[in-house]
Amino acid sequence: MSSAPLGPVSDDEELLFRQVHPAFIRDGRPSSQAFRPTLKDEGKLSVARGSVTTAAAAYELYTAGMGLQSAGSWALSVAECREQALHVVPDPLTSPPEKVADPAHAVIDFVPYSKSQREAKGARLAKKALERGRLHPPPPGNSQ
Amino acid sequence: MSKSPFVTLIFRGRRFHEPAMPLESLPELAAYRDLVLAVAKVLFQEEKPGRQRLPKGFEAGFRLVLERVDPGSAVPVVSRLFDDPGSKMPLFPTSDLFDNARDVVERGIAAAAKDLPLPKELTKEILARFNAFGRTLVDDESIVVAQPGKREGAIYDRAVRPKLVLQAQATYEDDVNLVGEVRAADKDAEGFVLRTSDGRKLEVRTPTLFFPLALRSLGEAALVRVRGTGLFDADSTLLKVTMASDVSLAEEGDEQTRPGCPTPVETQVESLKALAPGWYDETSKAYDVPALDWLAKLLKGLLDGFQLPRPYIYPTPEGLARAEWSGAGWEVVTSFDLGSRSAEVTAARANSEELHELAVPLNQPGGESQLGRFLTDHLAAV
Repeated sequence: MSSAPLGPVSDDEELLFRQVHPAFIRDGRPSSQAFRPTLKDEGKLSVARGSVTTAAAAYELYTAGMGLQSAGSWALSVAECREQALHVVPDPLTSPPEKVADPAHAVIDFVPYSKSQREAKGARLAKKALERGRLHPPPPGNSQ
Repeated sequence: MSKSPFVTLIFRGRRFHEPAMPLESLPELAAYRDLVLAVAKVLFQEEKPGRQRLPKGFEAGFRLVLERVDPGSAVPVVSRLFDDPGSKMPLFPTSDLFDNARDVVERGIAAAAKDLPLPKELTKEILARFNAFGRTLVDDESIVVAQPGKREGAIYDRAVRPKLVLQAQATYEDDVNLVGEVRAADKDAEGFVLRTSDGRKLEVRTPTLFFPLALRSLGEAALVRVRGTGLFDADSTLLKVTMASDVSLAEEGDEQTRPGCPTPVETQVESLKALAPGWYDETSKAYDVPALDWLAKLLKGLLDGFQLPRPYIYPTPEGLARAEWSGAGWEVVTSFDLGSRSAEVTAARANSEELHELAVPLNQPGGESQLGRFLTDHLAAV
């Protein structure tokens, strides 16, 4: 992560793309654990800012660029994070020290919250992401 | 006119214990007949590549009848009718195209079940026709497609069907039975948007006769039940309802008895067994198979005992198993510690900060009931 602190993202309309591991998808439904930090994430959930990148480019960077597994890009809005009292902080990554630069990288800050609060907020965010649907790759046969 | 046994179709599953065919399964017989006929046309074109048209009476000459239903599951014995006793397709005295087509269908199903290459006669156009065959089967049901007089044959079920269809196209069709709320309606487009209980929004195409009810649901936020044909992708994700055959007001209790995840618990748990070490990162381990068997048994008992909807089950990087439910008003997550045989449950109210928690040992008397009651209370509550 970068060292220079940046102010929180404030545009409520901005989308935040989240990559979801294929094992966390069941019948097209992403697990809510994909929308809250894991134990290793130190309370911060990585996302890609919609004002800097696209759902497709974020997916490509994550899979082809970083060599990680993703079933696709889902999205939350900044407003949806704010409703859960979660701040979104820009955290652009540079290379080096990272393997791949990611100027769109940001984190959703869960640090102030307990384990069960994080779980609950993740479940509510997952519900929003599910309603929006997977943004990339688009589902086959999607007429929208 | 004479008859000759053509195929034995053994319907297996809870609905078929009696030697009688449920009426709703009869379309399977017509779909099977259409499938064999389509393959026979391909075989004819292969044998007579110069001919532009089929011989007169080709299609009408293939007449199948349901002769009787034998016991031992529902076993409809399907026979073929002939006008002229002893005659088959006169153009090909040494072999009969329809018998060959029947064998191709059986071989194709057997090959798909084992992920083997399909017979070349099963063209993309033919494979797409499997959309219509097996549509009425549910999870625990199958059709054994066997030679006449035999009880062993190729097993056709809900897993094999998409394997065949998806070799021809990126999507396949299946029956759907959904409960949800209409969120938008467009009479010109002959459709509406249904928001299902798990939060998904699906396009539904519908005949105009169902529009008044759709508009009522839209205006009053009333729950409706939608039956019809759904379009699924290769991951078995429902993409849209291509045509509703019935839209009706949901019955009382439908909110609580919504089916949840379409994949059976046993199948979901099996998929966790298949995860190899390192499935998530270098520290993630494979799951312990007996522990997952315990989980499958526990969940099945909970679902049956408390009439709960089927959860979505996921692995976690920490080695837990996670069951998630989206209720009418609550999002419920249960994390099972397979080592200590315990569970932690978080119920988050969807539209507020309200949060309920439960930690329960499942290796002690009463633990399972405590968990079941907590889940029931939150999944039934609005």
